[in-house]
Amino acid sequence: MTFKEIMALILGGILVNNFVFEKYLGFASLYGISKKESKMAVTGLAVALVMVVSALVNQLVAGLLAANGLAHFGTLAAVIVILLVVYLFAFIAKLIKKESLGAYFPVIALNSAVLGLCVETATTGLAGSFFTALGVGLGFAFGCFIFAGVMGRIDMRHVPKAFRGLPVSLLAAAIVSMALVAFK
Amino acid sequence: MLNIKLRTAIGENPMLVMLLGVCPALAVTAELKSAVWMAAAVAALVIVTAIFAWATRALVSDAWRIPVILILLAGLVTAVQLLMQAYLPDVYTALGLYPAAAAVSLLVFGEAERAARLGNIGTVIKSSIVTCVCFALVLCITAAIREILCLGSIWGTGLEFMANVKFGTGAYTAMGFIVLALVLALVKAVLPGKAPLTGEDSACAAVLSQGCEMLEKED
Repeated sequence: MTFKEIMALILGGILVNNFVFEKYLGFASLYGISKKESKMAVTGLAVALVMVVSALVNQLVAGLLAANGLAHFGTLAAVIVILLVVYLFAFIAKLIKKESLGAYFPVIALNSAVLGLCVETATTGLAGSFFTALGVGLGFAFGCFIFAGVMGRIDMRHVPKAFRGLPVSLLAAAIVSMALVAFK
Repeated sequence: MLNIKLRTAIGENPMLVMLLGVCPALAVTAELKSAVWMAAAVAALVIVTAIFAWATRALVSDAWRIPVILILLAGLVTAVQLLMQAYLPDVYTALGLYPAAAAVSLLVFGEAERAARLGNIGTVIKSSIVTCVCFALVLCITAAIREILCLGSIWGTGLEFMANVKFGTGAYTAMGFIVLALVLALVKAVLPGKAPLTGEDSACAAVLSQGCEMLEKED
């Protein structure tokens, strides 16, 4: 792959094809995490790491399935791959930090952005999968950080009562989405 | 069995209250037709998964429930995708990868978690049907509004009065967020003070809620 193609995939994943603000994948997980920018950024990077590893492993598994005429089971295989990768990271976290993933497990394992990425990159080749996953993962982390920043600056006292909570969060996401359209 | 009360349909609406299932709600509501088929697919997944979760509640511990349901759900989603591909190829193409994303739908997990705690199968089925109807209601209302505003049509039929004022495809993505926000705000305005709909922090998924509480305590 050329450098231009690689940068197109990475920047595309971060901005133009941002999974959260352009494809709506992973928004529920993003909203439910936290309002602190530092915590959101860490969670976003953790999800990005899982995305990259899952996409690569799923690429290999999807290739094996396709070679044996079982390509229709791609979604099932992707789910199993994601589960195994998350459990692997949980095991590593327990070894290194002596604590489990805890609250992050459902955020990562039940993240539609991770599954959507694996399904979408199943047939794009190893290099394409890696750089797409890197871009999408960084885009998710970017989305987490930006969204936390926006939400942290909304003063609910000035928000009409009916719009407090979810509605204003969705409107904030709409504004971020519109900002990203400028990169198309 | 289908005695759906208005308060339940709105006050306990899974999508409006806990942001469950918001990904398909935002993604497939560009057109009403896609939304109806997605709602039907998700309904089938919810009911079958809830029955399975209830039937295996004594066999599967809480720690293993998520992975077991996840794998079952992925299998069911594969079956739904194959059926759509065979009998509804246009719908399958329109929905894209969002039926696959339903494999990790928090709506289904929330309902499965609730089903595992219910007493009898009749209650499980009734609860699942109510959840599905509520979800379909919000999905279809959002889709209808989006299709009218963005495409100037309803169920694929063009509306003359919208021909010159429609937003067009450029506003698709942001309109999804905006329309859902307006629908939710309207519900909150109509039913102010209802416990499930109050507060900024009420919108955590049933499965994520424990995690959110843990993270908020660390803040």
